[in-house]
Amino acid sequence: MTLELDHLIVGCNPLLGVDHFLRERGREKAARRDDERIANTFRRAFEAGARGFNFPTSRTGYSLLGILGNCGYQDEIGLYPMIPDTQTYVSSQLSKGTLGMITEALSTLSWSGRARTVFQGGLSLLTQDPIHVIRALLDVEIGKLLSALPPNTKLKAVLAHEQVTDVALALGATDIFRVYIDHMAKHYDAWPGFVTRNFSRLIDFFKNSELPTDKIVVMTPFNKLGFQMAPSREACEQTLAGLFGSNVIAMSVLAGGQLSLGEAIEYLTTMTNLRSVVVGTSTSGHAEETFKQMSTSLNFAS
Amino acid sequence: MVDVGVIGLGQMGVLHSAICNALPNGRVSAICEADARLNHIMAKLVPTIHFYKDYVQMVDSESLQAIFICTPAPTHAPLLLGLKSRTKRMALFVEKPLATTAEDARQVANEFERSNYVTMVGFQKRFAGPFRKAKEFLDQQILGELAFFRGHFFGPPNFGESSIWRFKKGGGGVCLEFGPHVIDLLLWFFGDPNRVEHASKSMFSTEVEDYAHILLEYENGLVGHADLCWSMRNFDPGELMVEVHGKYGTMNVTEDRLILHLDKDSVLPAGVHLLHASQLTPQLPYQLANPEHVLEDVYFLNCIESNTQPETNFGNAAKVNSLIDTIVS
Repeated sequence: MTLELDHLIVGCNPLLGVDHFLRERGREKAARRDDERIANTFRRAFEAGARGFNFPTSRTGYSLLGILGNCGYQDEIGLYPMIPDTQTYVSSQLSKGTLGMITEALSTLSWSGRARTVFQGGLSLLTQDPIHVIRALLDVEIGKLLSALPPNTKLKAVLAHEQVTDVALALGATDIFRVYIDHMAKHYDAWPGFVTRNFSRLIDFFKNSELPTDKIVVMTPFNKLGFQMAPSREACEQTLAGLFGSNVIAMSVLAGGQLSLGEAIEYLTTMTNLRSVVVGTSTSGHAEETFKQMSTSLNFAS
Repeated sequence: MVDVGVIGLGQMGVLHSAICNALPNGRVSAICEADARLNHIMAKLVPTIHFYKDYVQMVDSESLQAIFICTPAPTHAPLLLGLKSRTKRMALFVEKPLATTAEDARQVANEFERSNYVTMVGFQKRFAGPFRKAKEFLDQQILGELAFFRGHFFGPPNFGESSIWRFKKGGGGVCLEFGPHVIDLLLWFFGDPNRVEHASKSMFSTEVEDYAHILLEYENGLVGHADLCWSMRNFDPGELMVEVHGKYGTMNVTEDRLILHLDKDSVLPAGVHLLHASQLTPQLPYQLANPEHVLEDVYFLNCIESNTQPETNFGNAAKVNSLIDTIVS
């Protein structure tokens, strides 16, 4: 399977009122939510050249998917959801503990579907094999996702949230990556992906663990301030320069609003081997300006 | 290289395990988790780490230089006293609060006071760039004579009953969950108050408080208040804010930014200054959760290697428990 990665992807954070730079600004945006404004932002972004949409699989993330499904462009748009919904998991972990969180998530498995063929011994036996646990959790998350996709939209990649990726990476949990990649390839028509703020370490880990870097999508920060880039901007740039044939999507390109669009584009044009950029916009005017300028200025690796 | 053991695999246990294992001078060798099924899952996924069900067995079997205690708050004091009674000396980090009562916290602090253990409590807000800068500005008396302050720590997730310890008497409640961070910062910024008043309210929890208001007065005439609430729908993620008003200016600080209004030239020129967390945060060796979580663990491992006592050692942390006891008693 080859991946036709969309070069310009609409990010969702400004639409949802998520602001990693200034949470009070995010609260204000969330309070001003206007679904018609969001629909217009989608239309103008897609008219200006964007072709993908990246979103969290949270209640609010799914609500954006509903708006996207009616914006008139859904047939042409590739989807790049992030799993799991970390807020629900964190809340569940705080109120029920780690195992309680896992069993609560698994209890939503549809036993009439694929889950029955994966394991027929019930929930308590399921937890005896961690590989089954990962597969079952993936089935839970992707099952919810597939049932929420608007008709005719195309699921391109399913990305593991950075909190999952970066914990698994730090602990050197090779099997989590391996099972995720294998299970996605075997059972779902979408690429496996990982969001990370530790790009160079992730790629080194993949190479040392003999995991394939050409069969995954990686979404990771790239900006001239080195915002959220560990261990350093230079290390990430060097890793990217040596990574041919990979599917890297640059995120945080505006460094949480610290950079102007022009500054972001100027930096991105110096990057080789980038396949795509995800950027969030909260107004239709900003969406048009952003994606128009990016589609005329950026050349992506093929 | 510091060999680390972690007790408890809840949210903070997973986080500290991951961060410590990713730092250049840290290596997690062992984890103790009481739940056998969780142990079993993790042992298979992370074969480089040894998993134990019993912390005594872990301490006796491993050559650990540091232990992170990330278990429910009511277990902190008994665990710390239990570890002190072992013959091996280790650096000890415990998630906040140090204990659930002032008496237990004092006992722990006294027990460790004369030892040369490196001890630290997880008051990670001190490591957020804006709060560190605020402390620096206060030490430089940038606002002149201080008049009053207000603060809050608001956040989710409590909107219903749960059987977990956080919502039970004897260790739960917003004062023990959010209070340690706010009170630690206020003690760090302004010192010990000489009068404390309080009010609290429960709405979603039946055994513990969901909201608390604290009024503090200081010998030098400074007064201020702080609100704590873990049932705020519009604060997800949560936010800790402190605003200080002085004779020559005002400073408003959160995890994300610091805003200064200065009436006259000082270490900064007169006018309004907005400093974002990213300007006040050093380059991180690894990115996970908020920068303050990583910086806190970097600091602890560095304290171990240089054999220095952390700012938030058990002795200082016991003062936080004393103040919380005044509020919840």
